[in-house]
Amino acid sequence: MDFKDYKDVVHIIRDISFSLKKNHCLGIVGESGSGKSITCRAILGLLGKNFNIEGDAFFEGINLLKADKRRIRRIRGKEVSMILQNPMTSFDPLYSIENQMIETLVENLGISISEAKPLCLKAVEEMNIINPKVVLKKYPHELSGGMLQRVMIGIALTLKPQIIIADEPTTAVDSANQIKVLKEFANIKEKYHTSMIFISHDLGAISKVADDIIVMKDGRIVEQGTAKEILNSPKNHHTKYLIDTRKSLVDRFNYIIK
Amino acid sequence: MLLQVENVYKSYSKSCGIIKKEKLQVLKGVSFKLHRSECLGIIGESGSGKSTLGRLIIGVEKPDNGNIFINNTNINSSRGKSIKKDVSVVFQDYFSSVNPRFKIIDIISEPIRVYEKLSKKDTTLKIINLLERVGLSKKFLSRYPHELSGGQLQRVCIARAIATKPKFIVLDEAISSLDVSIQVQILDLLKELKNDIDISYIFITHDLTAVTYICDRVIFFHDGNIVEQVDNIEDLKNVKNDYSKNLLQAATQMNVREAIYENQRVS
Ligand SMILES: Nc1ncnc2c1ncn2[C@@H]1O[C@H](COP(=O)(O)OP(=O)(O)O)[C@@H](O)[C@H]1O
Ligand SMILES: Nc1ncnc2c1ncn2[C@@H]1O[C@H](COP(=O)(O)OP(=O)(O)O)[C@@H](O)[C@H]1O
Ligand SMILES: [Mg+2]
Ligand SMILES: [Mg+2]
Repeated sequence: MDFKDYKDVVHIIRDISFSLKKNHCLGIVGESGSGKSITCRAILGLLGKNFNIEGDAFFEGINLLKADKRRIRRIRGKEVSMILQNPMTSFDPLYSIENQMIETLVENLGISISEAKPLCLKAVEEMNIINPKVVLKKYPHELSGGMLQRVMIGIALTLKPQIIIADEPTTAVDSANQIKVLKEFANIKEKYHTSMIFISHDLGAISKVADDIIVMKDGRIVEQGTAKEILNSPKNHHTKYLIDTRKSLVDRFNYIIK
Repeated sequence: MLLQVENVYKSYSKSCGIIKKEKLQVLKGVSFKLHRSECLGIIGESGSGKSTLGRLIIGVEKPDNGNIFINNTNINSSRGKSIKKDVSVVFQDYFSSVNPRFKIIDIISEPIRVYEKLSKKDTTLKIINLLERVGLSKKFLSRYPHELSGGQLQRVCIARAIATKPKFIVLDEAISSLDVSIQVQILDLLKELKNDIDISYIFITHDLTAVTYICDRVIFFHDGNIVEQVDNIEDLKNVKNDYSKNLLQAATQMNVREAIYENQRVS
């Protein structure tokens, strides 16, 4: 997938290009307002008419920025899954986890309810959730943010998308549960050969899952490369700043527990 | 003793259906002390009752049972009102903690007007001084909240919190909504303030890494109870309780050094 984009009036994103390789995880890191979310929403055609988007975004030869609406909607349901920051808002509080999963699977995979049921259980089991049968009967407010986020990932995977786009999936999750969510993301590539875009303001989270990293600032890409290059030998001073600030936080912790 | 929390209980009635009312016991006998010039961390996962405890300490809600003393005065006694000035609070959600129609100057002058009789000119001078303290210039005086970034607005909230010269501040997830890079800046600011003025903090958070950055002591909070207390943060690695150990282990896995990139992939 190639992406080139130019927005007008208030320039939100300026001339950015990147590609997501098959079975790779691309991390997009930057401070809030740097343009991470809007970049992904532009690719998926989720922005309103008052956004003027220029450039191209190719998914398997289809130009997502020029293709007709129906085709894009089909790609969005089947080929590309989004996982958002706040898992609570992705669930309807009035329905049990199982009922919502069944509904999603029936709608997107065109299968029957009885076919969907075992898939739900499998999805939750795959996320290493303890007591999966009990969890399926629960309502969203009865589960922690970290648990809900893992259920979200389970649902996304069951749809067997080619690409998963996760926008700050660990940011609203308690820090003790972040590592569990990250582990599920790290497992996805191994097991499912799914390609991923993983967005976060936290280089710590990004470094646990990304193969390649893009660093964004003020709507531009200031540096991109393999995760190893970016984390071990950053060139850009903003990248260095992001690494150094996190390092100063973590150094004290590591000193104390050593 | 600056603050003493003694065997505090708090419950809320939760409505189940239409008729049946059940009690949700949120705090189940909490006791601890806060000393002068220290930063005490309170760590626990969401729903464990940390914010409820914070609300009781700042006196906006009362405990069902137990007492809270600030400088040996029970805050819920008739003499308690006079010591409200000694405690301030900074919340996670900086945007809803300020009136969006107020300029920054009006936001910070609110508590000053309540507790001090200053001329308009002196109030403005004081506010400029407070803004500089938190790393903002006087050009912010006439701006509105939406014109500031999250980190800048949280600085304004801190300036407002220290305006009345409180003895301590309750920081309830005060950095949790900020970018990691900005979190570090705010933590550095809090440390600097603590060195400059005689102040203590109660630092409420779910993030153990931030606790080690700023706290002298830490209390592990689980399901409305204190399950463990570490009186010297450097002894953190010796925690005994299973819940504390879990939090420590999760944070350790998150914080494996970035420099050894190859080794730190989770699997
Ligand atoms: N709906 C919108 N209308 C106008 N500007 C927007 C909108 N959403 C975001 N922006 C602007 O686009 C920029 C990038 O935002 P965003 O992509 O949400 O950043 P990030 O996800 O990196 O925090 C910001 O400056 C923001 O103000
Ligand atoms: N005003 C209230 N009414 C009813 N229940 C409440 C109220 N405030 C908090 N709770 C409940 O008390 C529990 C602890 O909440 P809280 O103190 O906010 O925890 P924390 O800050 O650790 O996340 C939660 O189950 C919450 O739903
Ligand atoms: Mg975003
Ligand atoms: Mg809270």
